[in-house]
Amino acid sequence: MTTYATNQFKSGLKILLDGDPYTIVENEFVKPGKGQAFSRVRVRNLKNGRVVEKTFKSGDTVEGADVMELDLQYLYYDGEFWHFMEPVSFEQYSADEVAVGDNKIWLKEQDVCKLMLWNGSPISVEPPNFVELKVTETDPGVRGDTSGGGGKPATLETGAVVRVPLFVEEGELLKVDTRTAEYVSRVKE
Amino acid sequence: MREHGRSGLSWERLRQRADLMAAIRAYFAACGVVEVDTPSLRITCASDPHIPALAVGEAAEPQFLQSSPEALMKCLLAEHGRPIYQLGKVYRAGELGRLHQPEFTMLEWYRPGWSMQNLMDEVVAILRLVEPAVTQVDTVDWRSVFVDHTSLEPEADRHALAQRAAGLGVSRQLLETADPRALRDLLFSHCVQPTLGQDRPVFVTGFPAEEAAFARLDPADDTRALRFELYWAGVELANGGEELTELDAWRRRASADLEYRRRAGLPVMAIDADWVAALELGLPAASGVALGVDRLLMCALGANAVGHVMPFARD
Repeated sequence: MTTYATNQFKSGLKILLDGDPYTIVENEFVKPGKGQAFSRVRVRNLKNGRVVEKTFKSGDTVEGADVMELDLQYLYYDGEFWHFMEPVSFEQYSADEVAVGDNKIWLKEQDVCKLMLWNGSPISVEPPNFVELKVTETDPGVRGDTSGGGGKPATLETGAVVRVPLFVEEGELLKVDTRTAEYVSRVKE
Repeated sequence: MREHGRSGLSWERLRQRADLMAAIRAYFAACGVVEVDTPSLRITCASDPHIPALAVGEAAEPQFLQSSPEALMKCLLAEHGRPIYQLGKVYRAGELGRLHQPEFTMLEWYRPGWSMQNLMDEVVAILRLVEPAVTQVDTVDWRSVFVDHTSLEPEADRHALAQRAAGLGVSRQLLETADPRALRDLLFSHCVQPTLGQDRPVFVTGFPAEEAAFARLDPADDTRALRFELYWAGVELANGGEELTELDAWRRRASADLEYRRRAGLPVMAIDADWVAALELGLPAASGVALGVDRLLMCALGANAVGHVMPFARD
């Protein structure tokens, strides 16, 4: 088990606070004119993304969080867990609903995702920035309208709903930015 | 992040630094305060447990880069009784942040025969070297500002202080182990300090006796020290007061510091024999102050970090 003293604090360091893994966003050394020094840090909870401030006495130690990031290939969903595989070792990991969260609508089989593992178990799943997904449901396309103006909702094969231009048809493959949930372009198969 | 080989400062910034140092030297030359340059390297260092000394050399015979020139300047005061200043680098182990660098430029000066108030007026004259618009600096009472910003009296019990601190997002380890003084430091630095000197610089006086450092106690109220701090835009710029001249009182305070260090597992340095000798010889009544030159420049130029006005600062 690794421990860190406050003088080792820097942004990006993964630490354990009240039983949860956090990453340090910002660290400030605070000291009154005469008296004790403190470390005031902004930390992000790696499980829920919430950012909080925390103050430590200078010299205090905290436990490091055993957190690592892996690039894993998404295999399948079994109704309860999402299964991933390390492409070289073939080692498999399963992520639950809490870890996958809102990103489940971007997971397409074979895509490589970034998983954060805490004590060996996934706590977050980050899909690729761009994914290619098939349109399963949308209003009929308006032929000849390639302006992209206006738009309409389209449901994709993973269940995600994005706004697409009027010319998009059911069955077409689309490139989507997962960070903004926005349509980027059509993809030729 | 500073690039290797680059100072991180524009030529204009370097000139502004140089201009401030030149203005300080010109100011003191004009009023007959003599520049001294006491050694940076000594076999002992400040006893204050919250000032971490930077030890160098062999572990068996460590030497310390000085955290301030105070001790040897007091020797010069005892020996010659003349006004003196030192402008140079001082060192603190492990202090790094927006307002801290492990080595920084300190201006420290002593005025024999002057009261604390006289010296505070002169501090304002130094401020005016960088900010001529500063004409008057208000003075606020330590206890009053503490009450105003924490809704607690600084003498409140540990439980009340801890309860107030808990609302600030404090680690459990800190809450459980901090003594009342540490909690008071925490509340002052988090709730009070950021508000001080926002419109214009402000002095804080009326510090409690246990925060006297080596200032004398107020003869009219021995629960208070004759010590002041100067704040500008929430940044502590200077720390001074009327000097303690009695050897017995000095020994008591230095021993208490060293005892605190021993209990806290901090390095325990030798009692400063030069300082003791100066007190034995007889220190004249005097006021003295230390001012952070980099922070002064930072505030005057509206920079966000001391590192932004210091060449080759650490990240």
